[in-house]
Amino acid sequence: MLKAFSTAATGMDAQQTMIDAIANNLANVSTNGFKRSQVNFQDLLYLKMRDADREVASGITAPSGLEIGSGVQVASTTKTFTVGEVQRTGNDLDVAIQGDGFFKVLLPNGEERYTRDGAFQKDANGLLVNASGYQISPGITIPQDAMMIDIAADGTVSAQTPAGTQAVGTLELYRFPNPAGLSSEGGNLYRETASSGANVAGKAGEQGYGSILSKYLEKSNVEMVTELVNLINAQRAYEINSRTIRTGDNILQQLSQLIR
Amino acid sequence: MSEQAGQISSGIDAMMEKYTAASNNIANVSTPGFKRTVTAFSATLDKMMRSKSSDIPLRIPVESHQTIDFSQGQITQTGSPLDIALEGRGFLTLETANGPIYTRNGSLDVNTLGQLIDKNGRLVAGQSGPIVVPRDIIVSDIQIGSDGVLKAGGSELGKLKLAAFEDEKTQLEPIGYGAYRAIEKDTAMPATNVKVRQGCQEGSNVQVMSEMVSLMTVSRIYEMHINILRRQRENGAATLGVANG
Repeated sequence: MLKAFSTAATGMDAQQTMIDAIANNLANVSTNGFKRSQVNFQDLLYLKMRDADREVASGITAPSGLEIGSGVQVASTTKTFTVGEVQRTGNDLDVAIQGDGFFKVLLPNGEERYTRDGAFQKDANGLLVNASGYQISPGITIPQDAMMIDIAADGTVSAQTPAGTQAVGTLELYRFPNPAGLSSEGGNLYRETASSGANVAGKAGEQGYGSILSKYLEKSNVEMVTELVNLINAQRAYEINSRTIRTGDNILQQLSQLIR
Repeated sequence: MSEQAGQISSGIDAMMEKYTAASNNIANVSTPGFKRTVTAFSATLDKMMRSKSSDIPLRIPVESHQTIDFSQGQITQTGSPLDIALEGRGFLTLETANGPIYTRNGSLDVNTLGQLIDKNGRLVAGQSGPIVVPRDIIVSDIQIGSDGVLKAGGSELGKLKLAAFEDEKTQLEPIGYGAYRAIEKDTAMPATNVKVRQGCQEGSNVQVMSEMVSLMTVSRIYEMHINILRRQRENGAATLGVANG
């Protein structure tokens, strides 16, 4: 029927995806190490109805043609890896990365995942694990008689035992050539992909790598106000697209009333 | 009477084209780098009338004309190192198999070969071929200057090929997916009056208010046309009634 109907429908569809993404961002406003998703829109193909430069009368050419666009689509969603705010927790095993880098964890099946969430714990065997219980890689074992754990800015983990202070391991950081290409796996984990590139291991505090902040956690980088403003925009855009449809409906209604 | 009906139907067609253009503008109200389509009627009408000799033309077909309004969209910060916004007149050049195309949507990415691409995977042109980011360079270390030069860790990776046109409105046509094609070859010139803003996106230049006004105008003018058609039919019926006694 009217082309504008499908055009407006693509607009409503795209805004719906936008609202879905905002909803997920807002739901994760308190998730440690969460990175907000950004939705990227692009326009669709154009239909050429009339050429520019065609002759409209002898010796006069039209200055412009007629090209009709067919709407919008979501091109991609990308994670924005800006640093989130850090918050003090006082917990010995909580760490935040100030700057760039990820921690590596091992899934029970041996696969590697990456995370910015530094809410670590130790398991029954004294191994350092993340909040879901996945082992931190390279593995760090904390002595069972440790009274205090200290994690330095360069990632060195040392334990105070009755026998004295001893270094028990180092938290390594990993960077990716293109972090936006990482695949989000849920549970605050990311997976390396061909588009993210292979990980580059390094020490905290080295050139380009963030430093480790002990007893702090990195909060979500979702900014409530920005998201709410985006939400209002998306909602209004959705509404206006529906107005397009209503206008078309009105047009068709009048047409059908004419022919009685 | 049939002349009038023809005139009205051409008016309705033109209105519908304006409506379709407005619907596309509205659908793209959140598309980065999108440029709105403006519909105009008067220019053709005027020319048509003048092209005839001194006698008044019996029928003036109304034809809509659409041009793209290339005015600047609002620039917003996104924080992504590979989002760039252009400020001023100019376009990013993309390399395709069918020659260069141009875009204002600077949401960029790198592919597995390290080449700089847009969100559709089209290569972003540098001054000398595609820009390649070596895989040992981390994307967030890349700095893009306002002149379009990409630097990482002190070394230069390349310079964006920014193109400008003498008159974008007549020299470019939209091909969708954020891009425009030059109607005639070799009309692109190096852009001189454009600034690159890293970590930003240029919003759509669609003004919701003016599009809503377009919708209302279309709706009302359409209604008027339909009413005239109805009146005509009634007149015809009345005339017939008189004739038949």
